[in-house]
Amino acid sequence: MGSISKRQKLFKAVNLKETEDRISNLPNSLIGHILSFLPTKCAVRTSILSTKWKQMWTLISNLDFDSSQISHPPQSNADQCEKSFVKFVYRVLLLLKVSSVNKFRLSYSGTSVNVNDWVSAALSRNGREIDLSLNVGWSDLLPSDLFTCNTLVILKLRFVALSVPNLVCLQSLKTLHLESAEFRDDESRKRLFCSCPMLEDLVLIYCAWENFLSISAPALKSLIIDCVTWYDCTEVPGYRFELNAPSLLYLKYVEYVAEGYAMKNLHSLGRAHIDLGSSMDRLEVRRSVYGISAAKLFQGISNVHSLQLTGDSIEALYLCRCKLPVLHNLTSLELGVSMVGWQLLPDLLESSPQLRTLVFEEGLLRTEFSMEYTLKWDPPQRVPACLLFRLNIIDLGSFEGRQDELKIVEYFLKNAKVLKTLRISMQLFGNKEDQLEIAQAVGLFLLAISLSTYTYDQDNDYSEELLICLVDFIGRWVVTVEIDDLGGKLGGFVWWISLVVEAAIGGTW
Amino acid sequence: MATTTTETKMLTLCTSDKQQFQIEETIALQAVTIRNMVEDECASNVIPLPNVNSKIMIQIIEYLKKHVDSSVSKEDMEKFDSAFVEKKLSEIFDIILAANYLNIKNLLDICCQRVADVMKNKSPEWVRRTFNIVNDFTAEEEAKIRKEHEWAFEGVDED
Repeated sequence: MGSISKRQKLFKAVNLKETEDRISNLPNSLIGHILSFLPTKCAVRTSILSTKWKQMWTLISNLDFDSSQISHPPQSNADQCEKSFVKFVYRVLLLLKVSSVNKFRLSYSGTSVNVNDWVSAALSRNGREIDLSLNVGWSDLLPSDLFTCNTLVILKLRFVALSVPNLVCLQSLKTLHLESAEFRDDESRKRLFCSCPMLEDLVLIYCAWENFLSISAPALKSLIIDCVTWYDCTEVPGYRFELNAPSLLYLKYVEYVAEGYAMKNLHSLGRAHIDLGSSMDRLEVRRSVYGISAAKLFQGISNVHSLQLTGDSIEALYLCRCKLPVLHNLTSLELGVSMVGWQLLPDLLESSPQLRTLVFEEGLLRTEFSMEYTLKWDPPQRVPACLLFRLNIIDLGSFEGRQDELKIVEYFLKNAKVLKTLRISMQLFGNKEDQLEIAQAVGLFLLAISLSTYTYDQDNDYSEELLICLVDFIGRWVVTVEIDDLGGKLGGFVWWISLVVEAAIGGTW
Repeated sequence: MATTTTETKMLTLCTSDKQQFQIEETIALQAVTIRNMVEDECASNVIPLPNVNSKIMIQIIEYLKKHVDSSVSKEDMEKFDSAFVEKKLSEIFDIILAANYLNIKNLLDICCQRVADVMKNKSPEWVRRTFNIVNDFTAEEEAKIRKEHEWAFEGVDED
């Protein structure tokens, strides 16, 4: 029977382990650290767990208040709930025992108190990160000590009004995100954007400029300006944009074309995403101003190796007859679909002599105008250099198999002399027979083009290379066809066509 | 500690249960406590870690080996971290104590985050049951605390 009692003992020991209160036995500082990862509301709630826990939450170093977490019990009204929230925040700030607050996050849309006291309380505790979502107007500007806090590393503000004092001292600030932030004036904004020596990451969303936007930041690595939908198109202001950022690696610029650009020292810039707001009235009336201005923008970013241009950008550049500079380092170009079709494509190719990868993620057509919409494609008079010597990969999304689309494909297949991969993604609609027909038509067409380009040219250096066609049917099949020795083996092509058809029949539609 | 040798320098860590672990110095030095010992040259060839047992040490070395690899992308590292903390709570508490002692900030943070995620939006009763916390308040005391932080007790998830 000894063995049983031993087993029971063992069981008891294991069981004891499982019922042990490990968390309460941690050192207080570690409990405080764990509670710092909770919304403050949840952290304070632990005061009721046991007598040991009554004061534990006062050791938290992150404060995270969100008034939207106010629930509305039937017996109380919104007003009472807000009062209860305000009282809660004051109490927490009063009782907190830690000397430094690592992070202070506040999301508060009420108006019953001036939140400046709260922000100042966080700042006075050497705040490292401040994240505010407010709904405040000019009557209650944020406290000016926000701009002289040397411990601040991350500052995120949403729905705020700002007046930047004459002296800005944010020696440690690395991240600044502003969304719907109103500044008293442009000078005020300039003071902030030009006084942060360590700033690496600047994001501006839905912020408006009056006359100019000036950013000068020696350490800035990533800049995102996404403000285009902020304005009513008819009252887009004519602003100037000055940027001096010698360390900048990435730029996302979603804005209307400015009336002037001073882009300085962007020699590190590798990747850019440009989405210029297209407002026909605005651009056509002052075409020459915007044409020159847009060219200056591209001159400024002409070192990029990767560029994404949205359809609206292409439209804006076309409407203001922008003369694009040569983008000497550009190897990857992604283009969106625009209202003006592909009239700008020859210029873009001509400006990109080193281009290796060309991506049409959205395809060639704007599907919302499908029937009457034409691609407006006129092949360039002479073949751009990138097609003759560089372009390896073309990625074509949302392909529909229309005649005018195929014309563009034909142009590339005939003129892109070093093309190695052409990926075509098709989204087919309609019934199975229609889809099959389109797939076959596209396959046959590509075959015909390929034959006429490659088979009769015996001296062709590229005949040994692989031509890879990927026809991706809505992600259900990927048909990979590799054809060796394009010079002679016709059988290869026949096999390829049958493969396309087989995939279309064999899959589950 | 200027060193001219190009060979991989190794350190030996000795855990509370007298197990020895030989690991590359670059991996071990991510633990600030070990780095300080090496820098102050108060450590001989074998670094004693009396507060960490071998079972936990194996897991910590797994973590350190991954994090020393600068070729791992940020996303992959986050994936690794979230998989790493998928352990029983009792193990997480052991790692928290060890990470705190060894001073490995990110490891401490991801484990504390894991514990916090378990508690988040849960009722006090649920938290007590899950962590075996014995409620030693009287009903009156409990009611008083509830009243003091009224707002904190609204809107918890169903157990």
